[in-house]
Amino acid sequence: MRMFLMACCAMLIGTSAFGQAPKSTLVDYMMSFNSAKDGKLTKEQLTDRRLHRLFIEADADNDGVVTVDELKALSTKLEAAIAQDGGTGKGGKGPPPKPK
Amino acid sequence: MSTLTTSLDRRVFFGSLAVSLGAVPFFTVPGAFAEQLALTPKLTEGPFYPDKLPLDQDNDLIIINNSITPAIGEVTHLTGRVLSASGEPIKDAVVEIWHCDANAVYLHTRDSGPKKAQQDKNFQGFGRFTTDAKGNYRFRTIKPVPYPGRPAPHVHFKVKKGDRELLTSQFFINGHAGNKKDGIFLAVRDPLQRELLTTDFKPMKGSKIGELTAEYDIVVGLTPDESRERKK
Repeated sequence: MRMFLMACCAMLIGTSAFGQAPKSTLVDYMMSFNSAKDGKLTKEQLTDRRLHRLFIEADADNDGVVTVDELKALSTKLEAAIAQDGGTGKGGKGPPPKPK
Repeated sequence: MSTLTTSLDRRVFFGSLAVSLGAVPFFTVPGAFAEQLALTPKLTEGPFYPDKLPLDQDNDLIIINNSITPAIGEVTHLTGRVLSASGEPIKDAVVEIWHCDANAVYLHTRDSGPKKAQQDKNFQGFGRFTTDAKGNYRFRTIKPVPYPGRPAPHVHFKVKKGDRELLTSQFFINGHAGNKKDGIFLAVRDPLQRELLTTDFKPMKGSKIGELTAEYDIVVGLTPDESRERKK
């Protein structure tokens, strides 16, 4: 019971502190690097270089800065493409490896 | 990580994600707030991790031992870093890669056995490299090709540290047409996750023989065992 109450509290705190689930992890993850918190992400701020390609793709006006709106537009485009591909193909899904 | 503020923002983001997904209360997830860099997604090991490891297991898959005949295929210099979720380089991690040769044959008795005539005997098929102090790894291999039943060319990899396997996965060629038909790639439904599983194979600057470069950073989480060890 005690654990249940603690779990409920945690869920309530989580909801009030963080709000709804982010629509796109891509937007939130990339903007989490915006250390200036000005909504204008630069490539220098984006220290996860795995996402530099997406940065370039998102920078629609090619000004070297990516805004939340640009990221949302990219995310919407990518999600639409994923929705179109149907999620199945050759090779099967396959189970993830068991932790050792 | 450039600033503390950035780190904290990402901690909040991952905390938010953990709670919003409703999987488990965040305070019961060890290390939930320690996450900063998105982890490289796990994918299936597949059936062809070599059952008999080759004698030559170095990071040059193009040349076996002292052979003078290189493997067939587009020579690719694959480099990257192994990082922790907090962005710290992981030294002495062992990165293993394996993939099929240019004729679509894996170094595995169940594949190379029946396809002996087809196999490129000059391709090592498997390699290992231990990361340096900056977490860097390096391989020379060929650009992966499609395999029957796997339209998306891919490189299988494992990351080990000591006697622990930290990650098993595969990465793909960004934008390859086969990705759109490959069951394992298509099963990844999140754009961010897909991005973390692909990389570009680009022409190598100055190469007169058409070599390619590919850069692929790997971010691994700490296992519960390691977390416990750190607290000791």
